[in-house]
Amino acid sequence: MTLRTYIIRRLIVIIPTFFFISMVIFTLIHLAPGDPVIAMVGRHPMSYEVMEKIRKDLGLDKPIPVQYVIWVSRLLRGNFGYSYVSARPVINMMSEKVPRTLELMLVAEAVSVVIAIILGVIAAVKHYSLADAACSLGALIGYSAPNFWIALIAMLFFTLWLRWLPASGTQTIGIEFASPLHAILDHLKYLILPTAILVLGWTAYLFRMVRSSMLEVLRQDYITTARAKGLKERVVIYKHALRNALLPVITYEGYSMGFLLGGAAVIEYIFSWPGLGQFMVLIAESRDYPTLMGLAMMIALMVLVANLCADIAYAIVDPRIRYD
Amino acid sequence: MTESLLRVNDLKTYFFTAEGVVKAVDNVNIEIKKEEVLGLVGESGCGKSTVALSVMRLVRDPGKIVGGEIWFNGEDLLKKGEGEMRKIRGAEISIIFQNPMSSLNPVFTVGSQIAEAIKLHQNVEKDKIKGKVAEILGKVGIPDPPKRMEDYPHEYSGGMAQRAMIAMALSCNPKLLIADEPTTNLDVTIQAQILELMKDLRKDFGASILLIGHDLGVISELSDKIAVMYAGKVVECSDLTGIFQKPMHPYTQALLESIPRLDVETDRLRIIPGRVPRLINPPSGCRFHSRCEHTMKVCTEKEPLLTEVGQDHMVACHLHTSDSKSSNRRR
Amino acid sequence: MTKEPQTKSERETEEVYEPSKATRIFIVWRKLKISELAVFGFGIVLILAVFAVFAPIIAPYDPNFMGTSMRPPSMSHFFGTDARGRDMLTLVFYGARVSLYVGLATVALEVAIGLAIGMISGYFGGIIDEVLMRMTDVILTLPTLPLLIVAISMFEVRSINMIVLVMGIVGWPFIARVVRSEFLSLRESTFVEAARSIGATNWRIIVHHILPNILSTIIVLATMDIPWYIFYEAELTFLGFGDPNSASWGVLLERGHLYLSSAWWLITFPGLALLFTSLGFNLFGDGLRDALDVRTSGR
Repeated sequence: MTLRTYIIRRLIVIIPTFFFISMVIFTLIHLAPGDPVIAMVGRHPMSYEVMEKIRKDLGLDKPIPVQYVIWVSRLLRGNFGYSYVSARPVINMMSEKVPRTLELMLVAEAVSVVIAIILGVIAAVKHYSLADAACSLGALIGYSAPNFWIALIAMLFFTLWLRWLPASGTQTIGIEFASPLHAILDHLKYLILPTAILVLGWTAYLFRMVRSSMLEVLRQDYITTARAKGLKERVVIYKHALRNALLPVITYEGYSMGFLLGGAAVIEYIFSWPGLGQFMVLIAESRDYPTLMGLAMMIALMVLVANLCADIAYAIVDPRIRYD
Repeated sequence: MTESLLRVNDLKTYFFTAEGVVKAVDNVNIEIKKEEVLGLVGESGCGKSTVALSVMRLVRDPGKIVGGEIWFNGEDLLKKGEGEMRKIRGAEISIIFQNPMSSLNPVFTVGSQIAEAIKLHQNVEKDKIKGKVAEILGKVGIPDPPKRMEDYPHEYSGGMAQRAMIAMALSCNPKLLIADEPTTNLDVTIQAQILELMKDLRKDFGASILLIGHDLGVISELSDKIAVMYAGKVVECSDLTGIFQKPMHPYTQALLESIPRLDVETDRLRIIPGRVPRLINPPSGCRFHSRCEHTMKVCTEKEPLLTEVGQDHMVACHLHTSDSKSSNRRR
Repeated sequence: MTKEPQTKSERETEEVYEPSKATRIFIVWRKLKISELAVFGFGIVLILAVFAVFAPIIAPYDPNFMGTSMRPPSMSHFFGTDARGRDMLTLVFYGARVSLYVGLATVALEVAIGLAIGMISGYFGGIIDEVLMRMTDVILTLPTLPLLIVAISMFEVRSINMIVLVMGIVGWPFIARVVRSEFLSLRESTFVEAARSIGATNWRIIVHHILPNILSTIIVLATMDIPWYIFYEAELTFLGFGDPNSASWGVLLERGHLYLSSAWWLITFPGLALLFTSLGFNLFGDGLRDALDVRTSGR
């Protein structure tokens, strides 16, 4: 089957997965104990009739399956509903926060990939050397360190003690009035710390992958063949070996969204970075169904897209894949 | 008398492992003349593949060539720098391996891998390269070369992949082709085809071949001379008649006797008792002495040297060298 | 022709190398010992276990004893004191108990569930396998922390055991998938075919032949998962979804981060404890995995 058929097939599979996830999310959130109407009302004394009216308005009196169908049909039209708490359209809230999180994750991803590949190749090629040992040990520590603790320590160091970098928010108040260049540089100052923490964990993980994959590939017969042809060692490593070694790494990139989103959640919370992660932590216990579900679906969508991209990338790079 | 193309003198290649030094190739001497085929025969682990890799200087950590000389075309390869060796690999000396499916890079087309060799060693214009690749693929018997060269290795069968490997090896007209167990992983019928192919190509390309394997029958199909290896050493070397009609080393004799024969009735197959010694601590003296029927006292003490005992026939055995006094002989 | 030199030489020749079970264990043990890092990791884990088990005995103070509050590290209080005057060193020791318990209990749970589901999926195949594996795929691609947060927020009860339960239930897919693929590949292996050909029943094949082989993979995975669960518990607690009454390191971090600017010792030491615990298990797990890897156990 050709590449195009493969992509189309993969895209089609997403549809049932999407519905399945929406069902799971809907069920989980509605199963949770706690009545949203009561949560909304809070301390304000309200009569039973008023609460019933609210319930009816929100459609919460209908049986669950019906509610689900209503919700999904609206969802497919792009209507994520309105928050029970702020009455704002959920989609607006999402569109404010998604770019912030994406910014963090994509930058972290890009930096991590570059560092991990460079170091991974060096470590594998110089197996058993000091460089290999140093990198591996560093990766192990980066991998083992609890990211939120590192974040706190970093904050302690760079913000409280050294006063080099800010610890919360995305930009200084009033920077809009300065030149664009200033604004960007200013924004970078805020970006560094949260991104660095994410990069630490993810690079460590990727590095281990690249290194072990590279070691595996360098043992293969076709590498000896390449050398036997008289190719320079550099060509053997970067052309013949690396391409094969990166194959399994690409699949893991698919999981990167999962890893980074989780990391982003706590990092955003600590650094008050107004993204999806921080949002999730703040509203998780509220009974604001539309927002919760909107958020969950957003996250699920991002993960699905990332997986799809990884699968397609893999199919492009590995010629064996399409011939099932 | 044709001159030597390859002369390996006292080659020693050792592997320095955590458990000790493995003397995989210990004082090996072989010689291949121009347009000659030398078959190097021995059991698994006797060091024959290591000899092949040593000639190409492709031995990697923890292995190292620690001694000897490899004379190729009048130059000692062991004294050459890596840059010079790279010019020789693929162009003057080529090698094909046992497992063709894993010897080709799965992410590149077969054609591009062959083209890579051509681009590296020959001055061919860019637009002519594809033609050359198709030409050589045709020579090794691959049908419809222009289409098949765009295929990936996993789309080839085992036999075809080996043909492609041969094409790649011969693409730059090497003077010496090393074939390390080229047919071992193939079906018997394909085996025969590949051997036929190699016979034809030998004539066309005029290359010498170092053919390595463990099956005397297969090796002798193509070889002019045969060298028998055991435990890192060459124990006997002769032309076909010498080996098959007048085998002198007990190991060679045992090898020949263990081949099942259809014309003679036997109850049990002849086996060689015992096991191949570990090369970390090889036994003293002759390495075969613990399994040999004709062991003498001197066999446990002194290593026999490869000496000429007839026309083009060399043996490393105390039974046949002048060292052994008749009083020491048993039987 | 005498026979004597022959037999003596035969004894000199290497014995046939037949790896029996005892030999295999020996090889693993020897390789583990060779890797100093793995031993170091195991050492850390051992120390941790000692701290946890003997906390009441080796801790310098009673955990509820309240002395002067907010003291930085000093000779009498190595790790300082917290806002209520409790000794941090003691609290870290006691925290080890909880954290270790969480790690072990969750792993036990996830292995139990994952093993069962993986085997069921592999054994029955067909539609059961399809459905289970789809579920596994979905859960695996979802980000773990958000998933845990969602799951935890569903419940109003917040206790350590609840956290263990939730994490174990979220964690089984990974194990199940590995178990299933190992099961399937082992099922096709020749030694199973051999066992079947001499009449072994399915049950016997599973329990006697397949399970022991899967075990080594599971042990490695379980070991590598322990630090993750300790970490997730800490993270969840830190974000406010945990059990505020427990003594875990997560609680210490959660309480301490409010005083980041004034009392750096409140978060530093619990965090270091987490770091070393994770390091220890990871090193040991890595070493274990390399030791059990069949490919590198040759001569």
